[in-house]
Amino acid sequence: MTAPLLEVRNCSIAFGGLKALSGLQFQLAPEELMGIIGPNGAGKTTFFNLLTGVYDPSEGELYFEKTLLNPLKPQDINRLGIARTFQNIRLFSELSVLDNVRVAFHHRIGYSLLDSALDGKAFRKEEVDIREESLALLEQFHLKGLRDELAKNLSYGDQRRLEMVRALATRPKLLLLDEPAAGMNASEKRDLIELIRRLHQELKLAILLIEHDMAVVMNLCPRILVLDYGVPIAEGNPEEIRSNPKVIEAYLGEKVRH
Amino acid sequence: MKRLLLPLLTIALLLLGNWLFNGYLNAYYLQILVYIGINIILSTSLNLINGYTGQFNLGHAGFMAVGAYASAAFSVYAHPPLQHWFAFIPSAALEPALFLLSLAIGAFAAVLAGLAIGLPTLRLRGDYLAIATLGFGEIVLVIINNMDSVGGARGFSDIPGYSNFFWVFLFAALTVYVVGRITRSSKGLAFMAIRDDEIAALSLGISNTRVKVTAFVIGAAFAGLGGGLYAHYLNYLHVNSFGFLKSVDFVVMVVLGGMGNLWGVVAATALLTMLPELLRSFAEWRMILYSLLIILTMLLRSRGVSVKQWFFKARAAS
Repeated sequence: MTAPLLEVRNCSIAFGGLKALSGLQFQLAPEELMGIIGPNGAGKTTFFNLLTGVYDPSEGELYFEKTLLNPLKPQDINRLGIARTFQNIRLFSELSVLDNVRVAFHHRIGYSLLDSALDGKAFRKEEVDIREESLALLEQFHLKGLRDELAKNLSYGDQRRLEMVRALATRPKLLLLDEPAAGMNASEKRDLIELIRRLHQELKLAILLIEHDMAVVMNLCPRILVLDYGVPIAEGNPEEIRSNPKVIEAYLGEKVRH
Repeated sequence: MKRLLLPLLTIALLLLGNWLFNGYLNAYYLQILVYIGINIILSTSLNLINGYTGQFNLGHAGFMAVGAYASAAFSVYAHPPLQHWFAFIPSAALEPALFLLSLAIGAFAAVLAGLAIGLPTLRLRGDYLAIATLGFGEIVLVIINNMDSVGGARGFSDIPGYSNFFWVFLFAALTVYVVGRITRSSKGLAFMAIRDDEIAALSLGISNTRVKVTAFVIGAAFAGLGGGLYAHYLNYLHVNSFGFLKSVDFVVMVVLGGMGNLWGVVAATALLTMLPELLRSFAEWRMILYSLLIILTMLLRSRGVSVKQWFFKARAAS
């Protein structure tokens, strides 16, 4: 078996008396696609916040390619190769669609601000490269035509997709998607499933997906982790999850009596 | 060669303007013009901090004071011995060189002040940062007021008058150019990213503290430069010129011009610098009218004046 990309060892976090997550433990292989589901308040987004350094775990360790993430800050964790989207969309609303993507190249840029004032050859070349790469990414997500629009003027679905483009522009090895299908209609959801599947295959990256919509998760993820009140209650393939009595009780509701 | 064309053309035009205005323009109008140039340097550099990066700096006049006094002190105390040592260089070349050195020292001192205030206080947000920078501005004035070597409360006089229309507008153009360039580059977009959403910026590997300190340092450098030009234009400095209200003036220029709107802030600066002078004939009503005009403009154009829009509207109408 290959070395895991991400290793979560017995992670817990408490806010005051509330245990938002306890004893979370799993491994994620490179290029794996895994779904995390659970009722509201189960600790899904809290887990993403732990992983991206917004919170520190009270107990346990997180390893990404053998690097301990616990002491790192969000910006350093991104530089290791973890990028995310947000449940409540966090775009740079006053920037254009294209600039929202360009800004994500920040830590890979070789020139300094002084170079940008001097407008030298190396600076120009790098800017052209960034622009081209950004436009290519936008095209994949059918957003190229909207490049000069302000991000805040985009439709909800477009905003969600732009957030994904922006995260991808940092060239992550692991992409965290926090409810990417929220607020989308049925046909948008179908497109999204296709898009994520294609992305996963073409870019060869690992994806962790938080989702409320069962159809999306069951359709996409070969492996699913279920959280309830901060405790992992089940893990397995869609079939196993669907028939697991604990999951049915916690999430899908009590079994219907015929 | 092509790249040198624009800067050379600018310099040539400014030299021509300098010669024309010094010879033919009424001294009072020339003074207003020079103040506009100095204020453009100050408001544009504040625009980088408040407008583009979304930090609330309420002590910009403090950076200006640091630059003004540092460069003036260098000119008063270090120029005579330097002039003596380099007496073999003709004064037509030596004087501008020494002046530029003074300006650089003023800017550098302001950068140090920017770092000193920036590093410990940039964890603060919004109102709290505003109060911290306000305190910084006041501390600077208290220190200067008690420094006898720069005149203390008597004011600092006999500063050589090297500044003129040419230098002021050369550096005003440089300020607008630099702020415009860096905020359009991919790297400089980080300033606006932090303004729009800090958490998202962090998640993209942008180090917020670093970007904020950079904004403060660049803003302070230009404010110090503006202060140096001001000192060598007026030949006299007094702490009263750099009080809290001066900082507020710059904030008003940025807000009225539109936060993060490069040319809007330049236009608002020109307007707000001229306005009190234009209203002189109304004597005691002057400051009331001034305030009323600002309130009205804010009500009518709360997102700032857009030069581009005016231009295109005017073209569409004609």
